[in-house]
Amino acid sequence: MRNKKRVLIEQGEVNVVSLMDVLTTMLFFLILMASSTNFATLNSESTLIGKDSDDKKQRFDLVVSYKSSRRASIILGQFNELRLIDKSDFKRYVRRKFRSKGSIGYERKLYGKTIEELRDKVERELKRIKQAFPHEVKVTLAVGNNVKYQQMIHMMHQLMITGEDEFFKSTNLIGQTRLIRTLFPTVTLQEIGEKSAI
Amino acid sequence: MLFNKKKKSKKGNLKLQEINITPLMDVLTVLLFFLIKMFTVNSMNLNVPNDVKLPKSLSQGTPEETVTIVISENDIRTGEEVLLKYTKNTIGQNEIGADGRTLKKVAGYLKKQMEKRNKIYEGNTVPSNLPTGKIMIYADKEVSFKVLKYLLHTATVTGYADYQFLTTKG
Repeated sequence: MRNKKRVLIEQGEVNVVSLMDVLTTMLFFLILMASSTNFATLNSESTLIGKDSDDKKQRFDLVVSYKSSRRASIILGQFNELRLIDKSDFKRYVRRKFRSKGSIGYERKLYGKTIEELRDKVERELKRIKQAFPHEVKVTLAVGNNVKYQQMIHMMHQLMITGEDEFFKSTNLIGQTRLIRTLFPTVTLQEIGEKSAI
Repeated sequence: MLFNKKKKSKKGNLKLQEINITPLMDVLTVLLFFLIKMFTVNSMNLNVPNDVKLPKSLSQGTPEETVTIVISENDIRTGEEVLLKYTKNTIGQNEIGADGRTLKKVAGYLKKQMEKRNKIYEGNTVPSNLPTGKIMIYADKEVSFKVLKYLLHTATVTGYADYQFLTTKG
C-alpha cells in the first residue's frame, strides 16, 4: 500500500512551452502596435469668412501673434464687462505687464533668446490669463510668413496645454479649485495682420 | 543473440508521435486578439511620403479619415497627383487665383471632393446643414507659413475649415 502511494506521488512538471509562445507573440504585437500609433494630430480651425458681427457685446478676445521664431506678442481684448476670477488682481497684473492699445485692448511683447525660451514666456502669460478666465477655451494664433511649420506646431501645442508635469492651480467661477494643464484647446489660425479668413 | 536484441530495441523506439496543438491554439488566439484590437484602434492608412518629414509634437490627437493634402518642400499634392510645384517657399503667380490667395488647382480638387461628399447626403439634407469639412495636412516641418497660408485659405473657401495637422509623436 505504501509503495503504491509513493508511486502515485510524482514530481509535477510545468510545461512552459505554451507560455513562451504566447509571450513572444504578445511582445511582437505590442512592438508592432507601438510603431503603428506613431502619428498624432493637432486640430485647428480657420476664422470664418463674413462681415463683422453687429453684436456690441464684449467678448473674450485673446490673440497670440507669432511674428518670428523669437518674437511674439499677446493681445488681450477689453474685458471690463466680462466675468473673470479676481478682477482687481487681474487688472493690476494687466496694468503692470501690458501696454494699452485703446479700444483693441492690451498688448504684451515677448522676446526669447531661443525658441524654447519664447514659448515658455508665452506659456507663463497664458497660465495667468487662464487663471482669470478658467471657462474660456479659445485663442487665435496669428502667424508670420517666416515662421516654419514645425515652430507653428510647437506654438499651437503650447497654447493648448502645459507640459506633462506643469499643473497649475485654477479656480472656476463657482469657487472650485483644482490642478489643471489645459490652457486654450480651441486654436484658430490666422495670418498676422488679417481680420478674417487666412 | 546480442545483435538480435539491438535490432529489436531500435524498432521498439519508433513510437507513433502525437502533435501537441495546445501552444498553437494559444498563439493563434493571441494573434487573433491583437489583430482585432489593432484594426479597431486605428483603421486609417497613413502613408506619409518619404520626402515629407513631419514635425514632432506631444499632441495625443488621433487621426480621422478625411481629405488629405501633402505639402513637401517643393510641391503640393494629393496622394495620387501633384497639384502644383514651387521653389524657395514662393508659389508662382500663375498658380494663384484672382483673389490673390486661392490656389487654383488645389481649389479645383477640394471642390470635387466636397461635391462627392454632398452627393452622399443628397436627398437627406441640404449642404448648408452639413458640418464643416475636415482636411488632413501632411506638411514637411521646414515648410514656411508663407506657403501654408495659401493652402489654409484655399481649404477654407472650398468648405474645409477644420484642419488636422499630422505630426509624429515625440
